Amino acid sequence: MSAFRVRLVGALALLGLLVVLGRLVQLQVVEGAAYSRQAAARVRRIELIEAPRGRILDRHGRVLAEDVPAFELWADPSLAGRILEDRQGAERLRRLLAEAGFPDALGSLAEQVRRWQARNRGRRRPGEGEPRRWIAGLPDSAVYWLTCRQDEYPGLSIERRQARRYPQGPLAAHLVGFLGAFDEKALARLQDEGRDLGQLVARYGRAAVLLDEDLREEGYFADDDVGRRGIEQEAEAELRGRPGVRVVSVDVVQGRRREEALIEPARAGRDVHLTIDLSLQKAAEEALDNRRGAVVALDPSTGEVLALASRPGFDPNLLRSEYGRLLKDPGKPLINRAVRGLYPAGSIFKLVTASAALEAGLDPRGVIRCDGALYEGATRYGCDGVHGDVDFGRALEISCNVFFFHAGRRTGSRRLAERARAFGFGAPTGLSLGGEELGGAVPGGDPLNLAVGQGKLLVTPVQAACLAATLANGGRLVRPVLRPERIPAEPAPAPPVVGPEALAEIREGMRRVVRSGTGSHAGLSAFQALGKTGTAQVGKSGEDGPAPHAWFVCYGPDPAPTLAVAVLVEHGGGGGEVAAPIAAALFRARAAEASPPDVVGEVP
Amino acid sequence: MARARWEEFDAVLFACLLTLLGIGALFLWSVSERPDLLVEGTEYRGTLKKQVLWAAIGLGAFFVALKVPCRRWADLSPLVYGGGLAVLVALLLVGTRVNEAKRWFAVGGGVTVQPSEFMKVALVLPLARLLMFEKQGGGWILLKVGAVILPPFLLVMLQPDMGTALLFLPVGLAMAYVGGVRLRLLLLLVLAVGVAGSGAAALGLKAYRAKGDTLVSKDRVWGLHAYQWRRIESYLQPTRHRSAGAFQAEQARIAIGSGGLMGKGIRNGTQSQLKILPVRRSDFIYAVVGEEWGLAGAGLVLLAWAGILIGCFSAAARAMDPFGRLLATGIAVLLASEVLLNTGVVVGLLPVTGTPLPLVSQGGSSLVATCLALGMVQGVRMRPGFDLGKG
Repeated sequence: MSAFRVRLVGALALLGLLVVLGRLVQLQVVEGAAYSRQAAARVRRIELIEAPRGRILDRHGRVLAEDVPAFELWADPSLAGRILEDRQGAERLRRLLAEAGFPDALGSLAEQVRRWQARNRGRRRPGEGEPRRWIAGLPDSAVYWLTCRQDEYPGLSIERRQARRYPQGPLAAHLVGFLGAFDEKALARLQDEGRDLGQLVARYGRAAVLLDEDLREEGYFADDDVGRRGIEQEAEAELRGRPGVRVVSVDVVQGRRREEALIEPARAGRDVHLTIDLSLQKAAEEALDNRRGAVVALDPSTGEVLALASRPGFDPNLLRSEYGRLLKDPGKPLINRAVRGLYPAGSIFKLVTASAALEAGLDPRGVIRCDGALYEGATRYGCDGVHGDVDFGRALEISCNVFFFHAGRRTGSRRLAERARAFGFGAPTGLSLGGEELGGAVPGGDPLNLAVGQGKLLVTPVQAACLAATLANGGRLVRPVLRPERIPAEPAPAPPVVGPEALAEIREGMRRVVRSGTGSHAGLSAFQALGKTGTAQVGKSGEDGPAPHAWFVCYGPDPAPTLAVAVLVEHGGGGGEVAAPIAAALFRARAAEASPPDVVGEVP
Repeated sequence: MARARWEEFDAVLFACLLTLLGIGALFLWSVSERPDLLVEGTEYRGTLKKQVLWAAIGLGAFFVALKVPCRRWADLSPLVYGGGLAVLVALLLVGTRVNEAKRWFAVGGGVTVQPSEFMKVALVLPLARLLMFEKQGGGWILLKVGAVILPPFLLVMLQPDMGTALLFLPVGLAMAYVGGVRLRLLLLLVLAVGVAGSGAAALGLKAYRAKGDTLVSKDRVWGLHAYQWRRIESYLQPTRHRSAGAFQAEQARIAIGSGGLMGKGIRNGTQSQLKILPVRRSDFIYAVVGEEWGLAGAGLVLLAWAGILIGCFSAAARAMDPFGRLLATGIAVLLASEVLLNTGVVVGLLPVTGTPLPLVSQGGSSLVATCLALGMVQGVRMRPGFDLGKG
């Protein structure tokens, strides 16, 4: 162990330092002038290249959302001051932009320039500002005009960017969702999903995000759009591509930019296919027309969502200009009522009560006498009519409250609430679309009111559709899916929610509802459909109270059902008169699709 | 003899240490504390204050470490080594992710600790203890050295932090050499590792290229992330593939080159101030020094480091105690490797690996660990005789 060996190692280390020093001399003295020129002549900047977002398609490949090229006008605030100084040029630009639909554009540019100068006066040279989006959605004529005169307007650049377009307009707008600016809220949501972006962005800021490959993997920036509702939000991770990165140099004198190096090309997002059938969706929305409400249609054997409509709606293409008005609209058109609307179930809940009572031993042949009301102490529980002697099937057919008051009292509220949970009420269906309401029954409530769906129980239209689909599916609980790849390969081996005997009785009752009962006016028996109406009282009942919500759940055609539908019309009135015809419209659309006319047109 | 002799205190080393800490704080200030240049939404304020606080803690650690008799370090070495490994394992399980790498422990209050920085120093102790009794210089001891290095090496690779892990190798080699292992054997080992390493790299690179553009940065090929392969590739063939790493390197070269002889002045570097220069507060701080203070400043940093390294190696050469000598050598080689790796990357002599410049880069863990290590060396120097640890 000699001191010599230590000295030798030390000498090697110092030699290394000498090599670095030599390299410094080479860079700074020998080649220094060349590097100085490189640093001074051009200001280099790192930029993102936008990646096109994936499309959203229906089950037949019809496009619901896509990226299309659009032009934007960007301005570098460090150079744009010169535009405003040139009076004539500025006036020409003002007139052009006013014609293009941006009358106040020059004012906002002046504001941008003023703010930049207040911040950076004397610290940064012209050309060293960060270009910002000035005008989005520039019409072609303006693009042409500006391209020809780019020299007159230093600091302006026309950027070809992607814009989101929804070719179906308002159709399925709630389901598809829309994009919004990436802000604190979106950041917090991504963080909730386990992506620790907040810390990264706070730590490194935008500039570092641009350079760090791992950050860029999920890099979002202030200018970015991010899915805010519906599938756009749900499938954000798949739809969003990966931005590329390039180095551009800015000519300080002219303000022109030139790409110097492509560090990484952009990668497009993936397309997302939905189980939605656009023709059915269209039929649902047209049938709802201008009523407030929701329609959900499922394939009962797989749980595929075929239609998911909510009214009133909006046109996502016009969202930017109409957002404020839509937010203030008393009809709340932005709310997706199919998953976020909570309503008293009304008489459709009698299907649940029926199954609970039958399992608890109710004799379906037993008869109960309906005198138009039932008295429990001093409380009067009313029925819609005086039905006389009623058995189980008849009770469903005419929706007799008195029968189900008795059934509910027999079964008890605990068992009713339990059965409601078994049918999926009060639990997420998994169809979140950016926020799903759960509803459900409050245990310990009045069993009589609960039995007819008027108790402390709220359901969403999607949950109601699942109820219909579950009855269609041999009593096995159906979970809705929107993405074909999420359809379970094999049905879960869970025991059915309803036993076969009880199911047969309930089905018979539902058949009678459509054939001769409360739901017989819509012509649904032509499609071998089975259903149940609901007329859910809200607030004070009576003449001066608000009209009840109209419900209808059904499925068909009978032996081998392919369609389960739930319809809700807010304050629509009677379920049989208002909601059932809407469900019938879906069956008609289904039938028309199955036997297409000779001329096949683009649908819709 | 175990009592520290203050007349042996290496004032030059200490002065160089203070110089580098000062330069680090100055240039951190240069690129950080500029609210006028901030991009919205970023928070740089407070970084300088934090760094000065770390420097104070580091100086405290320096003086505590030099008070400890070096044989005491030998006694402690199994504990330090075992504890270090335990912390690294814990880190993989519960550490804080930054850029997909688990290198940090969040302490709270925005403070994070990077255990691998301390592991580098902790590794030197058991190696010195292992080699201090070595007389034969045979291959057997080399295996033992390898066995000590391998666990922390693998744990740090898993974080993943290839740059730090690679630093363990020269430390082990140099200590084995000073410990008396035959040079022929060491050269053979270096050759074997080199051949195997480059062979694996070539095959891995081929596998990486075969998968090509389908890879996302985080995907692994042969245990390395795609971005690491991209960096290796861009170093080997800069024209074929311009990675972000190559861009960083080029921007750093332009920054340094345009600094010239005397630099553009503090806070005046166009590259550094305009955020063109990446990671400029940590791994590329040396490029900021080069741009704003020119060859004079960059040379001063090298000179100060030369002063520290000469102090360490001379302490090692003068030490009579074999443990102290090995300890000082190990630390000297560790620091020399770190300095050369960082500056070598910044001036474009080595491929981009994200390692800091000790004492200058932002980051508390590296700073405190380096000060602690230099305190140990100072302790060795101040006890030049045989140290029996009774004191």
